[in-house]
Amino acid sequence: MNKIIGQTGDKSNANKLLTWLKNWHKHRKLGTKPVPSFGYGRGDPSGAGFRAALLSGPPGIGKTTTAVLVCKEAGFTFVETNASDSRNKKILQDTLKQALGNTTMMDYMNREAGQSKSSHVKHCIIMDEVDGMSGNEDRGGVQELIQLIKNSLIPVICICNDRQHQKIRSLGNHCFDLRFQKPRVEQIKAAMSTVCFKEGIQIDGSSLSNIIESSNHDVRQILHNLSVWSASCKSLQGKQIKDDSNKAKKDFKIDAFTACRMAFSQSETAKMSLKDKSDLFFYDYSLHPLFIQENYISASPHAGRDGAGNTLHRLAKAARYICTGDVISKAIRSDKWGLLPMQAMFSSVLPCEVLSGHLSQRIEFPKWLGKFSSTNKNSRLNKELFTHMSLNISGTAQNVNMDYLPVLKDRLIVPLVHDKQTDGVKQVVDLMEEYDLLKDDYDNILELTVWPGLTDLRSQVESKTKAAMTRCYNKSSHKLHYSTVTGSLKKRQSRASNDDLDDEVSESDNDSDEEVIKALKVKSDKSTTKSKDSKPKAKASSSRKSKATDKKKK
Amino acid sequence: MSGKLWVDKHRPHRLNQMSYHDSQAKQLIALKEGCDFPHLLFYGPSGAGKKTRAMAFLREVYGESAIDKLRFEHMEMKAPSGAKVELKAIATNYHVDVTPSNCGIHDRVVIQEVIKNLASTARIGSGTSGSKRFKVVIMNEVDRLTKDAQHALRRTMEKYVSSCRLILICTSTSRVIPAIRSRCLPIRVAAPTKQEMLHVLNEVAHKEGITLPEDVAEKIVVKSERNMRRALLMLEACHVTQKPISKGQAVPSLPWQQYIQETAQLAFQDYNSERLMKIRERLYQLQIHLIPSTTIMTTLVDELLEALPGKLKLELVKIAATYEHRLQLGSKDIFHLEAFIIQFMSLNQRYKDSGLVDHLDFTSDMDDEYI
Repeated sequence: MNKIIGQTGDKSNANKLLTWLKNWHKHRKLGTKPVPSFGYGRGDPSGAGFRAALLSGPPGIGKTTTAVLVCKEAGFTFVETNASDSRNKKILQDTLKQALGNTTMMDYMNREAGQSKSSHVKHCIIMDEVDGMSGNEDRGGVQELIQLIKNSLIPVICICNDRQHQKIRSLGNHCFDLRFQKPRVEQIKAAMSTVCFKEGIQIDGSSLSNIIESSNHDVRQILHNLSVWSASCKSLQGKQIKDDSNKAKKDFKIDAFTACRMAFSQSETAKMSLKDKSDLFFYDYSLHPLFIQENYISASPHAGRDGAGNTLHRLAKAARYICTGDVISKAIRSDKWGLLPMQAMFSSVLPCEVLSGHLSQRIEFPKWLGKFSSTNKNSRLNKELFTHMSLNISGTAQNVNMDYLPVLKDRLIVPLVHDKQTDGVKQVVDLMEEYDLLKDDYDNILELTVWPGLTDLRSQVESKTKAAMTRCYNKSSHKLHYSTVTGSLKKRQSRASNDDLDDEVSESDNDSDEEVIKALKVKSDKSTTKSKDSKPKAKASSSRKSKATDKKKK
Repeated sequence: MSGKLWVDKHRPHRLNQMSYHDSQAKQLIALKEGCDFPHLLFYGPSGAGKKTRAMAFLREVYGESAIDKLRFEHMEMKAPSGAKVELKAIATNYHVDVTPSNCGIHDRVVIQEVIKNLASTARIGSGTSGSKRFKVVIMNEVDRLTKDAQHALRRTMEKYVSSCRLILICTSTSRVIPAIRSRCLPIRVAAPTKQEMLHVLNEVAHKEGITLPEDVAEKIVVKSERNMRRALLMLEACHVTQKPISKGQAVPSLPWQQYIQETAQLAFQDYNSERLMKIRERLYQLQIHLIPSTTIMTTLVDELLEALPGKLKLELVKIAATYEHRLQLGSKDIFHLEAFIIQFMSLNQRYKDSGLVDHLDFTSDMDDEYI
């Protein structure tokens, strides 16, 4: 077991796994509760109490080998399944459930003969390539696996490549998390030299390093390459090997953060060709430009170290390129996909070239996405407000936002702060009625008019006044002469005006559960009218309903 | 103090009540006398009174009682792609008021459906006499319609002309295709002059029984940029914050105006990356508050121009024009706004570094980089 590359240390994953496996049955008997690790490296380093272990890491670094060898070392027999076996919910249930609750035949016979105790021979399950459990074939597989693990009577070892995969993440919560890192060049090199010596291959140190690096530290790949190249000639030399290893260079994927860091880093890009640089863009061509834009401000160009002004001019230049990149990207979206390499130049290569150096701050995830969605949300709120008010105003939704809202906000909140008596409350409620505003709209208006740095008057309104306002609003809301409704209620309303509306509750039965609950709340509100303003929403819906009935009567 | 905001409370309802553009009102009345009228296209800056005039015109045509019975309609349509399109409209028995541009890229469907529905159902008992033969569709923000939608409109306008009239409303005719412009009678509603605005402000103040000092009124006119709606709202804001309005009282800018102005001040300070981050955050805030990017740009430029020496003004406007153009071409506004600010800071830096020399040649350095 101690021959696994990079797993020889005392604190290595292999060793941890071995201790965990050896102590598995002991902990089961003690009933140790697992300590979940939020984030890697925290939690219990021995993984005591977990019923399963999760081995993760890039391919070709010995995860499966480790699992198998550790099982042997600890004296466990094992059943292995991998991606070539169909592993959907049903099959997993059928096959594994039996295995998990079983004792082996050997064990059984031994016990019969009275020769040995059952604890001598133990077994476990190795689930290889669990991240391959997806698609139609293996539907529900991971969920089932989690269920099995929860009730397992024997240890389960899961192995995967992509620890961050959505499905694996949920699995990870139930497993002893062991992450395998790529072994360093020296570690592999030592082992490879041994192999070469045994096979009689002559190779010099630097060539070997070349091979190792070109295959991105993938031990399996290295062995394959060595065996192919040595098939014809037993002595591998300098230049030849360099060319070959370049050809065999493994394509590996890097994430958006790394791509962004590399793009700005002078030391990394110095070695790259123009094509390599633009390839950074193509790792994720929709996200990468956003990363560049988010982070270019914190770049400190090495060429511009002679003064802040110089950096500013460089930033300006980069900003120009980024803008052009955005213009191109819009053109691309109208079906001119051929322009993509051009956008790569303007959105990534050129700005990074101008600012080439290093990033002085942590790489930020693009805020643009979040801001974009909150802009959309506000736009929706604003449109809703506009439709509610539109009978009484002239102008567009934009005018409402830019001109009406600031004044409307003043009229809606200043009376609550200054005239605390009922007068202020009444003024506000009157105004809301004039503009057919709902209680929700009231909150939305205040939400939309909050600016950072501007005092938020909301905090100055006493909760007593607020409650008084809600009460007052709910009392008088039936006076509204026309109804504005939103979402699912709207559908009901349109139906209500067309169809009979004899029985409101049965009507809402057809709707979603939520609606039913609301309707029930309304009922209870009606019976116990003085339940204060604890359920303003339900009340609002009751007022809407009364409006609906009003309309019908007309 | 109760009831609606003043801007809505004191809105004139009939054409003969209009406070300005009298001759135009007379023309519209004359147009109505002829029993029939062509499609109309009201255009002019925001807050000049386009919609007010359109509604008043409808009241002339159909009578006050008919038009004031407004109801709210909710329409649902299906786009060819299968997406559901929702549209909220205000309607009476005689007209429908829609804003198809709210439906984004599906506005073409809205136009086709709404007009066809309306035109295909003739009013029962209307007979053939008089102007009540047809219904009217008021369409807001025509300049924000997509080109597709506008092209869909041009044929429908002619086809259903016997049963349906269109009143189009927009701020700028330059974004309305010529084919539509030629099918309409264009009516320009210009922004009121300073005198006219003062007159209206005083009238409203009089009706509300408050005193409005002359200097405050003038300040309001300047701050509102001759936008009647904004002016009346500002007047009310003054009234809400301080009663009674006193002579020499400051008229506060709107919150978003203030925010942009403060952002411009930041751009004047020396560069460092934290400051840029701060500016970016402020630009994002403006976007989240739904301030249109072009407004941000113009307000920024106005603010920057004030504090710049002559030579730089020219350069600033040049940069601003470039980036305003790119705003229209691109999709992520923030990129362009930020780039504009950085360009300006860079320009300003150059100017400071050069020791305030008069004859600076910025152009040589920058022109070739406007790709």
